[in-house]
Amino acid sequence: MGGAGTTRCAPETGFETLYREQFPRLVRLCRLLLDDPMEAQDVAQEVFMKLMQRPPAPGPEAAWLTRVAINACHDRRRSWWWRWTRRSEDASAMSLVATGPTPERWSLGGELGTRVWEAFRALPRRQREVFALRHFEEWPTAEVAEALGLSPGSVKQHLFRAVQSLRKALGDYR
Amino acid sequence: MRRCLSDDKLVDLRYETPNVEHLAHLSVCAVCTDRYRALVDDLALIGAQLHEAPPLRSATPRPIYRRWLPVATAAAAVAVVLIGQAAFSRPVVRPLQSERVDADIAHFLREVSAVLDDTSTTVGVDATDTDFTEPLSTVALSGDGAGGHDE
Repeated sequence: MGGAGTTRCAPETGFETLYREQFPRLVRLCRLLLDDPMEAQDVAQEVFMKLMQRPPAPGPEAAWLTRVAINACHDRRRSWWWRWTRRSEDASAMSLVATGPTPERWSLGGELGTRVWEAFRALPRRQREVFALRHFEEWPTAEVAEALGLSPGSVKQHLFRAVQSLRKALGDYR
Repeated sequence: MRRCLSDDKLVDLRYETPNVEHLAHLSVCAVCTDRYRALVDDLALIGAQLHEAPPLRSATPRPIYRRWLPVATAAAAVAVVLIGQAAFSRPVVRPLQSERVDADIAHFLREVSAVLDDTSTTVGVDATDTDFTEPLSTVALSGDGAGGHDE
């Protein structure tokens, strides 16, 4: 008895293991850089497609995936389609009537997530990238500098400004 | 080190390899220790919030027709260009060629008329026959005029 009705899972390949381990992390990173969950999923899938098509040289795949993801996010943000579909976020296109939470709601403290995200969205692209890589990915400054084509001093400066802006957003929440 | 640490030094302490002097100051300065703790707590809070899915944007999206207006304009312009190109590239009958065709047709019709009106070649029809009142062309076309008079 026993063997007839059971299904046996195929042994996981290295790619599947890597996908299972790294995909959520990549999605989170792309979400931070793109501020769009759907686009983040797309880019993360794209990165793994590249991994399948052109496997990198043996080494730490996680770092390679992160670099490719950062570049893919850059490309996405630079594309005309991206700019065009997000033009509505320009200040000129915004409604004069505020549709966000009222000051009362802000003060009640139910919108901390919104507040932090709005502050993060308002950061310049470089600051967002540096913060994401330093804080979430915990990359050392030198690696971040190399990946983004900046000097280590510049990375520190971007990080400091990002931290200041985000802390300011917390306001009286502390 | 007696002076309190600046904000950027505190951020460095959090993210970079700790500087021994800064650490030494932190261990003796209650103010800086509190500031450092506040920084670490804030970053933990920020990290936790950013770990969640981003909330929907509060900005009012641009109306859909305004978003598609440039595309529609471009498509209309392309359509106009294509239609114009098609209209102007249509084969035009040149006047000389047209006149020659007209002359050929006129010549052909004159020959046909001449044949039809030629009484000398009409078989079986007597041009002097006074009873014959139908026009020759009608007789020739109907084909039975000659036979009828033969009887």
